[in-house]
Amino acid sequence: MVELDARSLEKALSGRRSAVADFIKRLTKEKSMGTVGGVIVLLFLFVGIFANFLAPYGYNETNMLAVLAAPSGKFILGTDQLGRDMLSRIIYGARISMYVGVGASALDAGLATIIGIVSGYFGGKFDLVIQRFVDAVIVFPNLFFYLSVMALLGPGLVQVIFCLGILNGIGSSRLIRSAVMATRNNVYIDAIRSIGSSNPRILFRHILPNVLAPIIIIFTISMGGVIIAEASLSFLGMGIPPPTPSWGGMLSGAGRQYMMKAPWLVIWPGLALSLVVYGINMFGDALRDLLDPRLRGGVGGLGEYGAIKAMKAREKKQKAKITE
Amino acid sequence: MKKVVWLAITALLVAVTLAASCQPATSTTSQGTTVQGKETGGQTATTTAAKTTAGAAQPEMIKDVLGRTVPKPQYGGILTVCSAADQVGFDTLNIDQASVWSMHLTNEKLGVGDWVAGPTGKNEVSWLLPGIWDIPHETGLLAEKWEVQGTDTVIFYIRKGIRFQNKPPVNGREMNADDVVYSITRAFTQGGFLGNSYSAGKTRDPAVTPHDISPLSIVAKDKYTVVIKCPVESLGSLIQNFDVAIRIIPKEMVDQYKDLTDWKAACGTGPFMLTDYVAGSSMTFKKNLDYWRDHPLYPGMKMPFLDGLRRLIIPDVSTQSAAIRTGKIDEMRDVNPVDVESIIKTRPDLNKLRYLVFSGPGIWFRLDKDMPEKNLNVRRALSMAIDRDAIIKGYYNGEAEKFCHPILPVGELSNIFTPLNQMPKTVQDNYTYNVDAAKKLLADAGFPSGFKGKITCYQPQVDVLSLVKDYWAKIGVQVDLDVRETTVWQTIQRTSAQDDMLMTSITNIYYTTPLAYVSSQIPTYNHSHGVDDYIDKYVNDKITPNQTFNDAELRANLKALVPYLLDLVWMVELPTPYQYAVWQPWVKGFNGEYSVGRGNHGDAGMYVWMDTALKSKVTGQQ
Amino acid sequence: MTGYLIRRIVLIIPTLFFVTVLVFSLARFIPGSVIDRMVSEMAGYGIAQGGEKIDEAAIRHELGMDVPIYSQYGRWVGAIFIHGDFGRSLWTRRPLITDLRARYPVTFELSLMALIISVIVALPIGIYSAVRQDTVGDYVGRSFAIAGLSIPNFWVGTMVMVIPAVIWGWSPPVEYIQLAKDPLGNLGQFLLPATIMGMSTSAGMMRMTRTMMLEVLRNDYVRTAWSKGLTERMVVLRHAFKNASIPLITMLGGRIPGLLAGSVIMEQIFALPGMGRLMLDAINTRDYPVISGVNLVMAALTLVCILITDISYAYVDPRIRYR
Repeated sequence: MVELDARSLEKALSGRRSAVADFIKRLTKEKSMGTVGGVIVLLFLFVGIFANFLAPYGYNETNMLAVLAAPSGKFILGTDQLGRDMLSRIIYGARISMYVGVGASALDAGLATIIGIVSGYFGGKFDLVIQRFVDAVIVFPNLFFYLSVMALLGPGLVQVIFCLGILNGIGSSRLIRSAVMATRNNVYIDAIRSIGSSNPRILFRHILPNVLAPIIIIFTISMGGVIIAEASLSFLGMGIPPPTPSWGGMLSGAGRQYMMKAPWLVIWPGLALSLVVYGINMFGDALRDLLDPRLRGGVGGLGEYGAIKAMKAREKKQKAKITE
Repeated sequence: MKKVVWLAITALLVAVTLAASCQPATSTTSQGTTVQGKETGGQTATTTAAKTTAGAAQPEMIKDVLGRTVPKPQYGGILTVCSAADQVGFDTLNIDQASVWSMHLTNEKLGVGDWVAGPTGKNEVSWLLPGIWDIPHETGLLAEKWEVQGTDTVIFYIRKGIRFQNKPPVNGREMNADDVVYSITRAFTQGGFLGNSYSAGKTRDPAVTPHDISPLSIVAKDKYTVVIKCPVESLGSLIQNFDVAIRIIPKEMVDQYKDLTDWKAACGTGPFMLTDYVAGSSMTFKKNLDYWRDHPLYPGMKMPFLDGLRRLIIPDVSTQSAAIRTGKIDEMRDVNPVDVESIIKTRPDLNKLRYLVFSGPGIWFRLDKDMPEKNLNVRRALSMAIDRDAIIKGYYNGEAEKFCHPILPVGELSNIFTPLNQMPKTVQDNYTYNVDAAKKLLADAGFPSGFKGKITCYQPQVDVLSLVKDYWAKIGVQVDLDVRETTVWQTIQRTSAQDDMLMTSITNIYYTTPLAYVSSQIPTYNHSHGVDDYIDKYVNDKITPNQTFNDAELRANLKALVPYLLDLVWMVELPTPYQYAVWQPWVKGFNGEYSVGRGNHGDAGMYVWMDTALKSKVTGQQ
Repeated sequence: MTGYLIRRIVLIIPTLFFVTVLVFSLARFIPGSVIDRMVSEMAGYGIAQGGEKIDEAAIRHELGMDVPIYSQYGRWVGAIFIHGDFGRSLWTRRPLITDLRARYPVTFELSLMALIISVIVALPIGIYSAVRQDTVGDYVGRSFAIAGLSIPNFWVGTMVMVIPAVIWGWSPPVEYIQLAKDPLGNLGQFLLPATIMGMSTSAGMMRMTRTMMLEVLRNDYVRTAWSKGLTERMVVLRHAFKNASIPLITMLGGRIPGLLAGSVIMEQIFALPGMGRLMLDAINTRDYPVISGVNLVMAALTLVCILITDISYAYVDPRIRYR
């Protein structure tokens, strides 16, 4: 659980520029895997946003004369069964994955925040009922739930974002709720209330900063999972329908069908998907490590444990020197 | 130390389970498997490949019923077939006679198709189309013969000495006319979930079937004779339906089990008995040792040759292809040409058969709405703007045909089918790629700069429709693809409720389909809501009256109607792809037959034999 | 402790109520008619001639859809909880309970094996990553676990099925081997899909382990253990991990829905007749009683599992036990 007190956060936020720069410095120095992940994520977002300018062809330009063409000068990553350029489709696929990833994760984090704050802060009977509903949603095997809801909504990009975001958001709300409840129980909240602070003010100035870290964590962790979930839904026939170039759809559809004849139909979407999800996860992990002060490396790494280990290592070296 | 012990035990467990999950690999490079893969077209004669196993004794040869010298069939072996979905229950009342696949092996009907007429015999029919009732090639099965008296009576003469399978409480007693009466009555009077498929009684749609065609009476005149009286108008369809569609079941089973939904209630006079069923996984049949029939092709040899048959449910196509490569299944149907290519590369000794998909795709319209496609010239333009040859060559790699509507060019329908080059010029022009002519027709119709539209479809159709979309874009017609989920699309398709255009296939295998879809009275296949007085009159005068008895005249009249129909362009046809059936080289006496007669799909298992020695050699397993 | 227990169990009832409402609404409102689907299937064999008139009223009555929706809900819940009657499949007309009983062991066995495998993989990596934070070992271990999460499991499954068949002429078994008939073969068959499933869930568990360990390693009692002169292994495993494992047990309970769901894909590729495939087929064929029944059973079972883990957590954590 994350505990920041308002004062340290205010200090951090007032020197906003230095906080971000400080964050980046710590990221690159301490967490090299996280940095790599971060670079991958930035690249992914860049390609997704500027797909129009980067793609050499349209993503639906069929060409009956160049069907299933191997990678060549004209089609750098080859073409698919309708003669469409794979490079362009991968690039536009980044945009689709970006929509799904960012959209569903934002919905996830947003809904989790609303439910978590309302349920955690106001508590009582209200909280009791809402939490039973949240429990009811959590116990569903998530793919079963996705399938049922997608059957209800029908195939489509917006439907996928909506389905994944809402269902994940209800589940993630528990994290926010526990953070809210921990903060709310702090003595100083009672103190603030006793001097007449209103609820919205408390929520905004005191509760919200403390849940910022879990919100960010939910957002980043959810993004990777959502992109994979979309691929699984496409495999089961309930995802984003063709001809929209989603990586999961390409991998599970034409990729599987033509994989013996044209392996490049499978290699590029698979690589792109795996790499991006991997990067998101690594970056998310590093982010979480850095944001949670209790997990921070600190002096010599691992706080007490690390300090003692270092001390013991030094002792051993000294002992070895003496006995020489 | 404890940890080491734990690690060792874990490693041992893992090793053991890994070893257990391994099965011997198929050896495809073993010498002697020189049976060449052969391709048999639906219409060409087949030759049995000679076995050239080095050092092995020459197989015993016999003469078959047609006088040819063929290897003598061996008894034994278990055939393994697969399908992607499980069978829908075990009681035909709940769905229809054809869908309960297990009954094709355990129960029998009054008549059946003649195996000898098929590709393994005389090759007059393909036995690939389960919907066609091929009158000339029907033979009696449980009924020795039947005769029509007057216009309202049919008499069936039941074969003597046929016994039910030896299963309590039936215990192998003889089948007689009472069983026939019971089975037919049950099928007609006890409607199941969907009523029944015979347009009788309360499920009849008066607009389509103006008269109730239920039998007036079904009587067992004596122990081996059944007399059926029915209304005049329905005699033809009734003959099709009840004598060849209803399977004879024993009353005792239904009495004991209340209905046939439990697989243990399966009992009939057929060559196989159902011995096990694991829902969603497998069905096991074993040979009925008391089966009455001799094999029609090999004189003096009793059927079936196989000891048993298994049907596995394998939902994923990749898994199926792995299974046939490694010899775990013996036959695979409806295989995509792309998959076939790679399967044959791994196993060049597999046999394959190519056939057209039974239902060809096309784009239909809403001729009852005020849309641009209402104009005939617009539809002709849309048809001319598609380069079907390029699609066949590029997307289907040559494995498709461009002219299959409304009659599929297969053997059974060859006397109704007219090739494209014999059609009137207007029809031929519709199938010729001509962008300029298309643009001109559009301009003439009042749409010089094209128009916008929408095609309702479902996921597997999107590839081809993307191509169509690009072709139509070149003449200025912009269409959106409205992709729906499968079941939703089926709802739209069944009621032809599409907003604008609809992509669907119609089952071409039932040759009165042109009758069905052109008549404005039967909307099920008339997806475009087209109405034409000449056609309605023609159907009433020349087609409906001949349905019962004048099969030859019916076919001639249909053939004559087709060019007129195609000129109306109620549907823009898209190429119909080929599919393959692939089977192992040790399945003998088999040439890809699918349904010997109407609604019998999957019944070839009772006629084929297996070379178990060859199977062991190739797969190293029994 | 008993107070906690009673409270916990009582709270299940409103949750279960919400579950039944969710399950019921999901199935009832799915568009697309089962009748149209049936007619399409019949037409596929060329048997349906287009002349059938479907008695819609009779079918609605049979499905129980001709009463107001709250009555439908009441009837359904009553049938299940009072009579144990889960209804019949619309297609096969078999009682659903038969299919549930047959399919449940497959999914359960698969999920259990996947859980065990993911624990075997995740725990060592998580502990090691925590103890050697930000070293090469940490990166390698975590990369391995996250790679399992990044590669879609249907893809790995396809590769495992197809590639060996092409190259070596070997494939995993394609037919379900029942545990009673051939235990060794059954375990061997399930090992591959369970491993693939386990790899995807191991990442989450690894993260959880690592986080818990990192948190625990900073506590005072760790310093106490050091000062007693214990070796690093003792400190980490005996003291730190034991305390970290308590919340991990609850995490295990929370993993179960994910595992049960993940089995759908593996069952599809490896041709195992489990609940996942039953559910998928039911959704595709609009078999409403089956959709509702399977959803309810899965949710209820997960609820029970979570209850058990919560109770064991309460028992193990002395702060709650001795309240």
